[in-house]
Amino acid sequence: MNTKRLVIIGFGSEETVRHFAAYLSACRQPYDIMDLDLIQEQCALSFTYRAGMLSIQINNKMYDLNQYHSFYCRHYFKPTKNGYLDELFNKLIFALTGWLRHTNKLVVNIPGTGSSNFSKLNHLTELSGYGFIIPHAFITNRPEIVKRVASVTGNWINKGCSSYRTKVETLTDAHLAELEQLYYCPSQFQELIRGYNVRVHVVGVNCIAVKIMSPDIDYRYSLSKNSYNEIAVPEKIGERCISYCRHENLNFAGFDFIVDEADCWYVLEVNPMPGYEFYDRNIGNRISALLKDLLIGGLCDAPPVLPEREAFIHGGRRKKFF
Amino acid sequence: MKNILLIRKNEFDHLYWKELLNSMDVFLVDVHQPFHIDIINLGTKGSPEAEFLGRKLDYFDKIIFLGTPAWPENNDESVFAFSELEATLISLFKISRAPVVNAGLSLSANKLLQAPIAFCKFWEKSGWVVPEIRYSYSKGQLTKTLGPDPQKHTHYLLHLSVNDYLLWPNYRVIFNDHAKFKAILEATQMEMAHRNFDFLILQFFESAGVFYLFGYVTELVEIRNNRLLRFMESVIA
Repeated sequence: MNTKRLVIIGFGSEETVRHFAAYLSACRQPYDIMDLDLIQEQCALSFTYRAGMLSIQINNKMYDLNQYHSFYCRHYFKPTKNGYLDELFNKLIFALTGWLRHTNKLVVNIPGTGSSNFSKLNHLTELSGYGFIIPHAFITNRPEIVKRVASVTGNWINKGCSSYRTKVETLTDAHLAELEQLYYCPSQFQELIRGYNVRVHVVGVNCIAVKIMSPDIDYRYSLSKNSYNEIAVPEKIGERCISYCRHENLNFAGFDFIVDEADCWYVLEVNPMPGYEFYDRNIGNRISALLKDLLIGGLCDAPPVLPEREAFIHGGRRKKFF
Repeated sequence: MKNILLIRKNEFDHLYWKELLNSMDVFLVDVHQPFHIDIINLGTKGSPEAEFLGRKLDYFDKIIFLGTPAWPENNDESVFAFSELEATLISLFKISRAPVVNAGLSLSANKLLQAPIAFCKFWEKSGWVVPEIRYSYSKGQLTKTLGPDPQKHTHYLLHLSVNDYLLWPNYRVIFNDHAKFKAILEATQMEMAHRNFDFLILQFFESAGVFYLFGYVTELVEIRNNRLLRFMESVIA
């Protein structure tokens, strides 16, 4: 087996998996796919964990994980409607998680890393700890709090608090009329930042940014009406993104920013399993190229080249006496 | 007297915990319905304001978070609301640095990190041996094999805190290689402290001087036993 062979673990029908697999094929880069779509009622599935070794068999294909050089992971549990099979599928996901979290091989991304994203408000406060500027946000189930804090409609947005994908909407009078529903379930409100969106992908120690101009508050719902352009990442923003990824053990992540009129970059969230194909197609597959290089070449041991720093009391204000 | 907040999925969930806490000298607030929780203002600015059955968060000395209260109905609305409430509780406890017991486990937003096998290397690093596990599904049949077979050995339930332990069914048992057992316990306790675990309940058996760990559980057994009561009091103290 090729010592640099990589494996994609995920669902063969998923758009991001298909995109990266197509890129690797176009580059004639050998790879395997552990296609979890094959886990269906009529399949044969087994796995064995023994002394740190995990081997998995789906139908006739055997995967001995120790033989692979690196792993690109987009796996999760997806119900099959067969109770026994679901039980085993769940155990397989847990076993994969355990093994991938502790192997010394390169894993993009280690399962469970960056999972603060599942609790959005805590995620925001964690990001502020890395020096990012964040918008003011709060969660409540009290209508009077929303009326008091966010009464000027048009200046606040509403979004979900959890890992559910929800459409972001600007708070309007129509929303304010329905605030009683907060008693049923709390919700998150966030200061509206007016500006353009930027998605920064960090791949190893590299940053690539795409600027998105959109007519809608949530650009994900108007993809065909938007414009996309690659832009440079400000040095400090790039440093913080890489610093965050290093601390969180993320080799690949998608940072969402809004940049206001004063060129202030507000971070909104970090996606630890970014569905990146859409941005990639707009910038000539450069993210896929970096991802392939990372998975084949490994992480660069040398720290990223950072700009020279200067103390707050700069050289012109200092004098050495000895 | 300590003020303890117990959060459970519903009124039938983890009843033995409620029973155990009721037998202790603590003031217990038992939250098991979504409407028991009032998130007044949890924000990126200011102090979190939340109430549990009318008691403010800082009223509690310890919080035992066993599950997010669920809505009784099972539909898209209730599943979404459950997810939103769970994320809110995790944000609340993390931002407020609330004294949550076993925070390293119970505040893992990613459920994958709450499974025993997700910690296989954690166990192995501490000296346990995870027995060979083989699962297989074919033609509608699910089989599981473990090697060596745990059915041929005495199972022990180990209640382990960072500085104490309790063995079940026989707390007096002395293993042939007891020094090794003690070393494994100490290594596990160090890892637990590192990961913000206050206690674990492990299932294991011993065979030819090897300690095989085959699971961890959250159930408490024999809750009326005085030893367990004292053990859990030391965890909650």
